[in-house]
Amino acid sequence: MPIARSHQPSGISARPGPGVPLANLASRCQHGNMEDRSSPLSPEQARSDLKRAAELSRRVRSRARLARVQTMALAVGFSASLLAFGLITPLAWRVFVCVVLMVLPLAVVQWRKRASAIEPYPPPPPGGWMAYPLATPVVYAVAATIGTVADMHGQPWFWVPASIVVAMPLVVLALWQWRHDR
Amino acid sequence: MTGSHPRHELDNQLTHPVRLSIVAALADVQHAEFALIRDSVEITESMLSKQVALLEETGYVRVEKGRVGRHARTWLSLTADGRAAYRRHLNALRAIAGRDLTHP
Repeated sequence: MPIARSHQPSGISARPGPGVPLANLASRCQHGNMEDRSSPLSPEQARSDLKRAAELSRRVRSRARLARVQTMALAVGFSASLLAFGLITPLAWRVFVCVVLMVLPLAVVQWRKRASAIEPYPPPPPGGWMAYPLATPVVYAVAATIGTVADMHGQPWFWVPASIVVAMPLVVLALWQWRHDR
Repeated sequence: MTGSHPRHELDNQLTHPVRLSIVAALADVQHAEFALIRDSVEITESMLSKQVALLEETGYVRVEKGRVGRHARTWLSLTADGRAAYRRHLNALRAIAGRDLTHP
């Protein structure tokens, strides 16, 4: 959304007032029509600068809300993967699910690299950043092992709660990121 | 009237409107892509490159180059010095903006 535009002031030495397009400011800078730095900045000009700075910060920041979305995508991915592992009985499907699981974090990393902007890192959660992503595959492995050893394949009463438990570490991390979103 | 005018607290680098805009755009993100800053600030690539080079020389902006797939990408971020300078500059602007017009 462009910043509000207004009639360009005629004086080439005056600092532009509120609402002057940034492109015009760039042009004036390029052609040396900068303000005399010894002249005092008026309150109106200072307010204009503040307004423009806030608008730019907001505009770029609005493109950077990715971390908690990516964390939730991983949580849903692991959860769905365990459900598929437990409820689909052919062995080939279980192998397929495991392969997808290995690709999923890499896909999320690539997705993040393609983002135009990354939001500021919030303070680390209790236990540190790595505790939650590392806990997830551990819980996944434990649930999958218990379900396999106890021959629970095809039993939703075990795999549905287990898939919720698997998602919990990353859901907690996503909530932390959302809570500390500036 | 004694005491210095808050304009003396303005950062020399950030009194340039384009450089202030670049720093403002980076203030609320960890880093941002060059193209996003160019489009947000509404300037040409050459102008952005020139101003970023000046800010990098001052130590306010960090430039990182990488690749995503086959495409080269350039990322811009504020350094700790850049963030501190921006905060000081905003505080000076707020002091000027709130200043009573009877006090020059």
